Amino acid sequence: MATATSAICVKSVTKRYGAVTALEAVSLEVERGEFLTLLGPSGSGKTTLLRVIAGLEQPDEGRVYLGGEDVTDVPPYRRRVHTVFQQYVLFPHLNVYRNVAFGLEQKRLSRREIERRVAAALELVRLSGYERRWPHELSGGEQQRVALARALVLEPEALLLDEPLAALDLQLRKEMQRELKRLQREVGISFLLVTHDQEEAMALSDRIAVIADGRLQQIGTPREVYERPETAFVATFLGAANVLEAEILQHENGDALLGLCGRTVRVPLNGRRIEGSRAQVAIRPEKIALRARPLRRTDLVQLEGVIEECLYLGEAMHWRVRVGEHCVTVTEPNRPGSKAEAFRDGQRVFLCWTRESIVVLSR
Amino acid sequence: MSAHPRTSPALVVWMGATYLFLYAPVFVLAVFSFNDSRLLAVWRGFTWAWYEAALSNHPMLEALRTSLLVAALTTLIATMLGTSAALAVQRGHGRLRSLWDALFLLPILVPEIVVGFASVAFFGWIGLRLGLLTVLIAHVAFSVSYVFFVVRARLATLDPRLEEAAMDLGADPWRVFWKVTVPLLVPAIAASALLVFTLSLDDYVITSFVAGAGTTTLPLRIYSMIKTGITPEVNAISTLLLLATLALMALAFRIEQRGMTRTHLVLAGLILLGLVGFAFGDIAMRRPRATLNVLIWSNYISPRVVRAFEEKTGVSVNIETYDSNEALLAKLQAGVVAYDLIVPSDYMVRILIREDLLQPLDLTRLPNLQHLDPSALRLPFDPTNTYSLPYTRGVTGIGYRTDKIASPIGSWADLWDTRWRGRIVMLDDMREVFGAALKLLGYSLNSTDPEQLRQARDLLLRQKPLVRAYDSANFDQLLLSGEAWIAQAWDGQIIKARRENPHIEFVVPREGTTLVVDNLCIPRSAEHPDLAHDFINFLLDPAVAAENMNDIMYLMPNRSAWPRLRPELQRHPIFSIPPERLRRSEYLQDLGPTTVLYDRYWTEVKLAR
Repeated sequence: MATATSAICVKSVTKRYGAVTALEAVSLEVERGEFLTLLGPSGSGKTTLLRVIAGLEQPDEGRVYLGGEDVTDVPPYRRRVHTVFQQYVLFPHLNVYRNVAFGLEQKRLSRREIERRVAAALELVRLSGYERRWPHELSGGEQQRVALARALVLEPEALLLDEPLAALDLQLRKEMQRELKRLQREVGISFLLVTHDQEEAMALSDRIAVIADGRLQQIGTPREVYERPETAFVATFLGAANVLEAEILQHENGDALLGLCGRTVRVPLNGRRIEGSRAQVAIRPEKIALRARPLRRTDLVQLEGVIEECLYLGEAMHWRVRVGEHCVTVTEPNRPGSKAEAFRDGQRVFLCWTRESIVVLSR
Repeated sequence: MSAHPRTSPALVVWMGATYLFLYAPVFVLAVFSFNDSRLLAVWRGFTWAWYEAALSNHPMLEALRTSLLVAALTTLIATMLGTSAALAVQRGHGRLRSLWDALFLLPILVPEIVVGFASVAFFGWIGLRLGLLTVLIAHVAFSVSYVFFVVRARLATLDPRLEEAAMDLGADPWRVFWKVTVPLLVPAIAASALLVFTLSLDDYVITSFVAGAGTTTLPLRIYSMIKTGITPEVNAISTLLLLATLALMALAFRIEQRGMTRTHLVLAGLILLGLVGFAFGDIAMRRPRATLNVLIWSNYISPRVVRAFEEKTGVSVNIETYDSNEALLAKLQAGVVAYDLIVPSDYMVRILIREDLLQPLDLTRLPNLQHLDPSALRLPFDPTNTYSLPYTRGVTGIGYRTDKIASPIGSWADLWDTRWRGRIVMLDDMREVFGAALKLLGYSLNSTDPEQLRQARDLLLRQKPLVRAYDSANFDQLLLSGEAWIAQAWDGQIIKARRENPHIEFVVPREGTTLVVDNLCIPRSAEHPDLAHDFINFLLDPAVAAENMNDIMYLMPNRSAWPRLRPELQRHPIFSIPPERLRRSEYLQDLGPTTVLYDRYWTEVKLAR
């Protein structure tokens, strides 16, 4: 059952459009005051999930709870969550004041109460003095703030944000990210943000829920999801990763003995369960070091390979190294005195990484 | 500021020319409504007289009232229906959508004349009497499509997420519709309402089919005035309409620009209320009593005579007008009109008898019959006067300016005289023009002999380079202005023109000409045949007939009334037609299949250079 403490709770929601399954048995909980991000590529079902929560789509299976109350059959206009749409969707026939007051007017509050709350909301998004402006007179960022104020003024259980920053240019997007974070801390309500921008997700979220092909892949803090991805999809979608095939030779007491590129490596499982004889492991490119000769250390995994490609990216160096049947990507920040700078295509090198950097993925 | 691409001067000129092309006629119309002359084309000085005349012209105001009533109701109903349909289709199933669109497009593409005829046939089939209701139904039917497409176009550009956003912010579907959808559609709804109002106000073709008793609209009224001549009163009333339309447009434009404010709503409401009030006012005051419905050419009966009959009998007389015998026939054939008295011309009487659309007159109830001139009775189209009695008679002849043409005029050949090149006007009437040529050749003007018709055509082709215009409506004005010196003409207009310029003369050519008798007949479908008999007898009373003639300036074959005529009518050319010219003259007859040949030759003449 849904806990009364969670702002939003989704229980095994399935949504199909004809033969296409947009969401399959998705379960998710957003705590009160939490900033949770739904991260996934386009078409992954994240917007559909948002619309199911808002009530704009009806799930085929599963239940939706808001503040512990089952709202699955409640129409959108009686749900205490509000949406900030992509491209804002302000009412073009109403000025800024009337846009923000729209939801309050539906509640039939007194005029003074409406005026007071609209003023407070506009101040919150730093748009005081814009009351008489029309939506078409505003910049993208200003429209975004009006859309936020319009939803926040209703003091919702949670705010749903559907790619709210996608239409802004890079500079403004960074600014609005900080603004969103500030707003969320000030009002203290839950934010559920949908985005395909992993950097945005990392910067804003308390937790990230990665979604692909209508299924929830993994949910956790940005650090957890990045450092310990559960699936190959999460590992590669959130940052870059080398996914390598490994043989399970033995596993016991939370450690596994893997055969990886002709070496035998002992890897910590961190509570992850593995089965069968083969597994995939992920290693982040920045956690690998390149050396001209092997280091005399037994705590490191060291593999020999040949450099196939060498790219200079300004802030970092980027190599592709052939190791047996695998092709491994390595990056190193562009720091002064880096030994790696001298490496050339075709050169023999040694790849070194710690055992802890290897993440065993669940199938 | 970004640099604007410079507009080329040629483009500016081109644009100016386009606007001029669009608005010059309207501007000229408005200017000439202040012209101190009956002429539509020559400026004589400033006057308000036409406005005074128009605003005291009862039949014209009545027609305007009807038009406004129909337009207002059509706008209201069509806007609601069209908007609802557009919303339904927009939200409907994608696959059927194009079918619904096509079905709404069809009424716009179908020729109006087909829609008009189909409507009459349909109303006849379901047994609905032609009247205000049928006009309204027909107008709504053809204007819903326009509303549908204007609103649909707007809907297609509306972001559906606006409605979702409203719902998300706590508005239930009802409030979403009224607070978001409707306000966003207002420009489209207002624009289409304006369009519908205008379309309804000036529709002629469809209305001419479906109008019945009590529903002569302004366009019908204006068009029916062609037979008796259009005066700048029409300009005046059109200018007033134009101003009203402009005011509505300005309002609609402001609504589109600034959104609908309370002031706009009140203003629009007031205008609508005013229009509907004006339209309904008369109906509310009308006393419920027996109504005699008369369908007649315009300006063909004196309002004073009508009033006298109403006072004498307590009956209300409703006067409707038509513009051609063929329009009259179409209405009667549809079988849905309830007219008690009609005034068809000679050849049409024969057709109406053949089609069994008339009922026999009870001559014993018409003692005033004795006053009629025997020469106007027992005419070939109704030899026993079973179905018709003559109302007015007329003759086609030649009108000319004695101050421009010194030589005597007396033959159709004078219309072929090269000395008057470019000053000759012929009627824009196939039968009259061929009649003149046939008579000049010594044939019957009802000839069906292809060889004779071919000769007549050749004669007319020879005349063509001399002819300034073919014009039935304004030949009197062309004579008055001096643009034309000599014209094939109907007597009535010439008699009226002679009051303004005594240098205008009328002559019946020695070869003979067309005689016209318009007749009083009672349709088989009449609801009050007894009243119709009373009215006919009343019209035949010598005192009444004299008053009637003095007002309408057409001659009636009422011998006892002639001594009481005003001097211009005493000198009516019909009285002085020499007997042998009268003998050579004929009434038009229905030509049956030969009409096709006439049509072809007429087209050849009109198209010749």
